[in-house]
Amino acid sequence: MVLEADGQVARAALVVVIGVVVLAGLIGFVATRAVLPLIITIIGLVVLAFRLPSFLQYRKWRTPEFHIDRWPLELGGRPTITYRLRPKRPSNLPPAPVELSISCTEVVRYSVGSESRTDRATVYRQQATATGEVTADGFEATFDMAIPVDAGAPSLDLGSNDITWHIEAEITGKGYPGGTRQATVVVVPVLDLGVASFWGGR
Amino acid sequence: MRAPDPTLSMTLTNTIAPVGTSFQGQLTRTPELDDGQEPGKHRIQGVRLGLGFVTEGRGDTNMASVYDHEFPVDDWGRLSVPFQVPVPHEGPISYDGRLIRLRWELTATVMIKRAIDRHLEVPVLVIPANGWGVYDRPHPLPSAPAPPPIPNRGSGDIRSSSGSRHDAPFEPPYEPPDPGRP
Repeated sequence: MVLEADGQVARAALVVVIGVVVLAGLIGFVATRAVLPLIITIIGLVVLAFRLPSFLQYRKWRTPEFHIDRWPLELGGRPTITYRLRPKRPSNLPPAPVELSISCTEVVRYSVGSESRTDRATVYRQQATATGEVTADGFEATFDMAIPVDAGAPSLDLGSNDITWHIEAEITGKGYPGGTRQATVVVVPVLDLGVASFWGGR
Repeated sequence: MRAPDPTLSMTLTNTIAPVGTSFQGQLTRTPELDDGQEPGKHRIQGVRLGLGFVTEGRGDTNMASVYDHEFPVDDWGRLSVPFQVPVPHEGPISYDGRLIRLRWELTATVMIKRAIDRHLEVPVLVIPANGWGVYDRPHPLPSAPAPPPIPNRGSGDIRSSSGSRHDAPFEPPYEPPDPGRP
């Protein structure tokens, strides 16, 4: 199963919006000589300075992918997850550490008067670090992760009571795009039999 | 507040069922004296059996019914039928988490003409597929020690005729495992 990382379009849209705000602030300042457009321009430039390098780096790569050897995921299973980044042009970057995490979050929504609120609690999180290398398929790092039977739960979507699973990856090497990329995974209410025997059931 | 029904009893073959399997049992109604002494004179329209889940916790309540079937009673208002209630493949499973608790219940409702319906509610446990012998409580399992396997598929009858709710339906018959166990 191949999952594309979320947020590629959103990140690009955010950079464009910030750029438009900076431009509008600059035009406003030139036209009116007021302080407010100048402040907006400065804040926008600062935010852009943080966002732009990562955005430009990602433009050199295709959308990051998570390759999962079994789908959907089962309770007690140990899926192998490969995080893959394919460059748009051939590159010869050195190996770099990649941090991958898998997490389960309970999300509840409730009303207080006319106000709607959302609470989240991460009930399981596993992190692992591996060294990724550039291969013929692109930059790859592979991980063995665990879906436990003593934490978290199968994915649930009831409206006001949801349980979601995410995988997140971050590369910390020079020349690679920074920031965390994530994808949503589905865990079904099936117990992996290999772990069931470990738990004494079979 | 639901009115309990002392005339109704439910005998379950299994109180634990993996998703995609079923709950089986026997539903029995023994008429009260004032139900009507002559055949056809009672006010019972039938007994409805349902399976559903409800969430508890911080979030707004989500509930759903996944099964609903109506059994007719005889001329004396009596009923004694075996039943098999399927559990959906997709779950959800019984869960006791940090913000969310999800519990399942079998409900029998006596429908009475021109009167308030009366109910019998029996908590049940829905577990993951392949979970026989592993789960004796809602997911997740306790962290370190494994629970002892359940001896069989619940042949011990759970009889509930009082109509009262079980306050702690899933509280464990759990004992710490033998430290010498591998």
